[in-house]
Parts: sequence; C-alpha cells; structure tokens
Amino acid sequence: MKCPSCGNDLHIEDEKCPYCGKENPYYKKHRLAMKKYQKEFNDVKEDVYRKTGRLTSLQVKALAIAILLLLNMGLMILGKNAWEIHYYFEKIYVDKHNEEYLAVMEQLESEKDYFALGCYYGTVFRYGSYDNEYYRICRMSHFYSQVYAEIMDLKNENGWNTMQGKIKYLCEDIEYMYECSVQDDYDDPMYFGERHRAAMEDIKEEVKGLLITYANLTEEEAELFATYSNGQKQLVLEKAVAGNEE
Amino acid sequence: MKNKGNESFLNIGIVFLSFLLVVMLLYTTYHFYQAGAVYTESTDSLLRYIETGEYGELVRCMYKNEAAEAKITTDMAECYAVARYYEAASFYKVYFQNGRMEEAEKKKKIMEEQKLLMGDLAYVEEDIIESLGLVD
Repeated sequence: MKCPSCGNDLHIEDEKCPYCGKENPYYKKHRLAMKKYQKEFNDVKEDVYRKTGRLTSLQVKALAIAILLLLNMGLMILGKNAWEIHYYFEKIYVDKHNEEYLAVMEQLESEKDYFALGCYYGTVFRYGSYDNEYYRICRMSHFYSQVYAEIMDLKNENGWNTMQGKIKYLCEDIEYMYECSVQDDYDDPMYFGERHRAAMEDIKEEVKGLLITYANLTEEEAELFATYSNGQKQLVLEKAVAGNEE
Repeated sequence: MKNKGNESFLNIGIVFLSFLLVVMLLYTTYHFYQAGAVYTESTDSLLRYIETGEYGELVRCMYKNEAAEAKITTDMAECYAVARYYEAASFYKVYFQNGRMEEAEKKKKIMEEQKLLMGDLAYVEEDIIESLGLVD
C-alpha cells in the first residue's frame, strides 16, 4: 500500500511511514483486527482442546514437571534406603538357601577349618547374625583368626604398630574370643551344643599352643590366660615378649 | 506474554529436573552397588603383606577372599600357596613342640604340597622358615 501523505511504499504493520514519518492511518485498525482474530483463535483452540480432551502445551509441561519431581523423590528414597532394601532381599535369599549354608558350616567345623568357618559366616550373613546355632562358634572363629594374625605379627618388625599397641589389640581380641564361649543364662542353648562346645575347646587349645610357641608364655601362663584381666594379660605378654628379646 | 513467561519457567524446570534425575539415578545405583559389594583383597595387597612379612594377615585375607569367591589369577594363586604354606608351617611348629606328631605330619605334608605351588614366590619359603624359627 501507499502512504497517503508522501505516496511511498508503506507496510500495514508500520506504525509510522519510514519516509515522511507521518502516522499510518491503517495501523491502529489493523492491530485491533489482529487482536480480535488472535482472541477468536485462542478461544476456538481452547474449545477444541476441551472437547477432544487434549492437553495444552502448558498442561503437558506441568505434568512432566510433576512426574519428574515424583521420580526424583522416589529415587532419593530408594538410594537412602539401599542398604535396608538390599538386606531385606539378601535375607530372603539366605533363608531360601539356609540348608545349603548350614551344610557348608557343618563341614568346615568338622574339618576344624575355623578360619574358613569364621570368614564364611561373615561373608554369607554380612549384615546381621541371621541367628542360627553357628553364630557363637563362627564369631569365636572370626576372633580366633584375628588373634592368630596378631600373635604371628608380634615378632614382625615391619608391622605398622608398636609392640605395646600390638599386645593391647591382641589381649582385647583374645578376651572377645573367650567371651564367645561363655554361656550366660539368657543365651540360647542352641549355640552350645556338644559339637560346638568341642570346637570352642579346640580353638582355645590352639590359641594356647600359639601363645606358648610364639609369644613365649609358659604352660601355666597359657593355661590361666583366659582367667586374667585385660591388664594382667598385657603385663604377662609384655614380660614374655621382652624376655625373649633379651 | 504471560503464558510465554510461564512456559519458559516450566522449560527451565524440566531441564533442571531432568538433570537432577540423572544425578539421582547415579546416586541410587552407587548406593545399591555399595550395599551389594563384597570386599576382597587384591593381588597387590597380598603381595604387600608378603613383602612386609605380615604372613598372619595374609592367611586371614586368603580365607576372606575364598569366602567371597574372589576371582583367582595365577599371581593370586601363588599368594594363596604362600599363605597356606605359612599357616601349615606355623601350626607344624606348635604341634611338633607339643608332641602332637600325627597332626604335625599332616601339616608337614601340606607344607610340601604348597611349596610346589608357590611359583615365582618360592623364595619366600626361606624367609618363612627363618621367621618361624623352624629347624629341619
């Protein structure tokens, strides 16, 4: 179209003539008509969406955000409770294969493979005791393997700990080991069946032998060792080890 | 205009939450992996114990690895042989000194069997004999 003032080319969307700068008389009318058409278009669009049950772009995005929020919260809760969930399913698996595990532990106990027994129990029943008759003997076996390593490390100069430190940890672990074999009134008798008692006594004999051979305790000291207090145990061991070094 | 503003805000929200979803997936996967993981000692760890003379700890680690069904490589098998040799030798001395000759003989037999399986670590035998104070 042409500008009524200067006669140059004028677009209907131009508010003013780019040549003479005069106001475009058709602009306002055109804007009002466009607004009216836009409103009619939006009304029809909403009507169509409502009648056909379709969602608007805004509604879809709001829904996506709600779903993403829920997923994030769900994953956060799962992640925080991963250990408990894993424990729950592991317990179901262990209960299902219980007979199998008990058979393995029975074999290890009968073969006097106490180190293997303690480690096997600790691996299979990782998160808890899954209370069964082997709990005490396996716990004792676990401490026995620690006591063994600590006794053998007494003479190792390359060890990371001082002699006093080694003796301190050794005495603590020996005490924990002996505690496993003590039956209190509230203990379940299933832990202390004949076979398990024999195995516990066996372990005590082995530890006695190790203390005599490698920690230089006398027969009497090794025999009475379990009855000593923690402090006495440390004193006896320090004296025995020092005596040997002289 | 207002609608466009709302939509931009929602777009940012969607992008942010999608990124967060990926992070949460990694977080959850990591925690489940940790919960199910069974710790085993590597061959390097075992060799370090041999190097520092911590044979008692080596024996414990061997049993832990076996219980956890750790994959055994050739090097690891040799470390296990050293562990079994040491364990047998340590108890051989205990039984021998206590006059339990039958049990001592069983341990001696294990020592001889494991000696053949030590491979490149065979040099450690002398160190073990010396550290335990074993005399033929």
